[in-house]
This record gives sequence, structure tokens and C-alpha cells, in this order.
Amino acid sequence: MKIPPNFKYIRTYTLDEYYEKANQTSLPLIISGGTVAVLMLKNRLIRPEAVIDISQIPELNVLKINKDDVFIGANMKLYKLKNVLPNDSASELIVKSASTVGDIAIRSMGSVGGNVCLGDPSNDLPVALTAIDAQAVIGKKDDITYLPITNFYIKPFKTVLNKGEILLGVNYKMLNGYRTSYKKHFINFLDHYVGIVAAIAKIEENAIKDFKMAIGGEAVGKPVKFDLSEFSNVDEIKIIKERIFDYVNTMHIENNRFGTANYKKKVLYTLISRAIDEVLKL
Amino acid sequence: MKIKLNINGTDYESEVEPRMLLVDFIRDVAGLKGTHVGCETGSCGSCMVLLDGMPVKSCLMLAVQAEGKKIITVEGLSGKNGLNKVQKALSERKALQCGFCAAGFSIMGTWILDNEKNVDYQKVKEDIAGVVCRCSGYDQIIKTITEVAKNE
Repeated sequence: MKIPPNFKYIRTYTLDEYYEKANQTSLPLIISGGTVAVLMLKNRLIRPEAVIDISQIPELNVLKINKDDVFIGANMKLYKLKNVLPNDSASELIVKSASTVGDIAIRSMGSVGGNVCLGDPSNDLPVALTAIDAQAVIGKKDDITYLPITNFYIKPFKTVLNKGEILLGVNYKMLNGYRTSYKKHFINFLDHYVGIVAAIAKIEENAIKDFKMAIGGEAVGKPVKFDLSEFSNVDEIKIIKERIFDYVNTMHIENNRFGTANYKKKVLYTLISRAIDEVLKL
Repeated sequence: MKIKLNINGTDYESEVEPRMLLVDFIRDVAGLKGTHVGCETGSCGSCMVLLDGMPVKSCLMLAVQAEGKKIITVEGLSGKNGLNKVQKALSERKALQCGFCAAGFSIMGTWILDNEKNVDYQKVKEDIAGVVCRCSGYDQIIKTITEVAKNE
């Protein structure tokens, strides 16, 4: 029987209350859905002084769909996304990635904020959000910062969030008329993803008008965005693949329990190749 | 801390440690032993309950997180007329073998019936992915839930 260590439980109802409590506590664990946090507590991988529950803060439960952009509050449940997001291509990519998280029961508990903030390389939303140039909306007392999601991660399980700060949600521009692809490769017995690829492209009159791609997973540690603007007018898929493979080849990928560097690169090549075929086929 | 949880329409009030898991509250405080503790890692789904109508794994949730929400356990699925449609079908078609996973499949099956449209074998297979049957009798379970859903 796995029982978490003792901690003080603090439920917050407003952002101001959160900022106050978070600053008063030395090692707080912030939970919204709690799927991963409770598991880590049960396995005693973390021993926080206090657990701050933010699930009742109304500002974090909102979804704002503006003319050109969308804001998803950090407490939004992953399962809900497919029913509430607009019908554009960027949202489609987010829904595709969120739909691959665990099973329905996990998605109905897990939140967008939790998936983004944990910093686990296996998490899905960070890769999709990186591909569409989303922003992390970070709140601290009397201030809100908009940070490109690519700059949100420092290393695996480490984000830029400091004590007293909170991820209010994510913000992204709607994209229309794009093709999307989301691929990942799972190591079952280790419960982790070796590689994740999210791609989104716009094809018009047999030419590539826009092409964005991000990769993630254990192989790379934190999401990596490819600058693919140079490919905008290239309709030779083979060349695009070769250039991206060359880039992956120069990346520092470690040998570890998730596999050799060579194996991880092969996995990434396969996923990238499949994603490109899906979004760029003319 | 003192919490009050509504389980199967009944309020259960108790002084608990914040670290108490929802599954332990359901089994030990409310005394509803139909919700099982299996893997304790959120993989097997034996501890599945409905929380405000959505399936959740009660071993991955603190009891204090569920305060103010409506919880339905496998005991709460059956009404005055006995077992509900999914439970009855699983029983009649002998879809379950040892029965340890019964709570998970009954909960998920009932949720599918209430929430999914155009249900087919593949859809049910995807939906029940969070529940593990170690007797590996998935085919009969999926067929049973699919048939009940199609007859709705």
C-alpha cells in the first residue's frame, strides 16, 4: 500500500490567495488535477512541506477564444479540449496531442497546466505548443509575463517558474488551412516516450507556404523547435528530410536507460519522416 | 482536516489526513469495497469511479481534492431494479472472469453508454484502454459493451 508522506494541504480560491500562500511556503507542490503529483507523492519521490491546490481558482479555468488567438487556462482538463477548442489547425494539433495522453480517466483528471509545467520530456502538450509557437502566460503578484513556450523549459523537469509564480495558461495564434501531424514512440516497460514529433504545414498551389515542426521525448529532453522558414519554397520532401536528419544528427543525444543515442536518433528519423509525409505530401 | 464527500448520493463526513487517497476514503471511510486497489499507479483502472460524471482513477487522487464533487462507485451504478444494463450484460454474457476488474469495466461501460455516440468495437476498445483485465478477456468485454451501447 503506497501512502504519501505527510504534508499540509492548502486549497486556494483566488490568485491573490495563491501568491500569498506560495510565498509563505518554502517547498510547495502545486496541484491541479494531481495525476502525476499524487503518484510522485505515493512513491515518495517528492516530500513537499505543503500541497497547494489551485483547481478552484476561476481565472485558471477559463478558455478565451478571441478573433485571432486562443487562451487556454491552466486548469482546463485535457479531455475537455476536443469539445471546446475552435476548429482551426493549431487547435487541431493541440487536440491531437492531448488525445494521446494516457486514457480517458487520466485525461479527465489531468490539466493543461500540469502537462505543461511538469517538464517531463514524455509530456505531449509542450511539443505541440512548441510547434505552433505558443506562449506560456506566467502570473506573479501584480505582473503577467508572456514567454515563448520554447523558453519555458530549462532542462527535463525544470522550468523557468520561480517561487510565487504560476502558469496562468497558454496562448496561441489560430492557424487556418494547415495540415497537422502528431507522432510518438512509446517504451512500454519504462512508461516513457523516446521521441515525439509535432508538425504543421500549409500547402497552396503545390508549394509549401509554411512549415513548422517540433520534436520532444526522452531523446531530446526538452522540446526543440526547427526553424523551417528556409524550406518554404522547397517542394522536394527528400531534401527537407535530409536537412532535418542532419540537424538531428548534430544534436547531443545521450545513451541512457531509454536506449542508445543511435536508437533514439533512428526513432526520431522515423517519426519525423512519417510526420513530414503526412503534412507535406503534395 | 474535516471533509464531506458525496458518494452514491450519500454524504460521508470524516476527519482525514490530507494525504489520504480517494480510494482509501471510499473503501475505509465509506466502507464501499467494490472499488478495488490494484496497481496503485493509475494503470489498471480497478479503482475507477465517476467524479462529477467523468471517470477518474481514485488511487491517483487525494480525498481532499474530491470535496464538493459527486462520486459514483460501482455500487452506485445499480438502482432499485438491481444491476444496470452494462453490469447485467457483463454478467449474463460471462464477460468477466475473476471479476477483480469488474468495477473499472462497469464504470467505463456505463460512461460510454451515457457519453459516446456512434459506438463500435474500436471505439470501445480505445475508451476502455485505462482498465486492465489480467485474465485477458478483453474481446468478450468489448463486444458486450458495444452491443449494449448499440441497443441503446
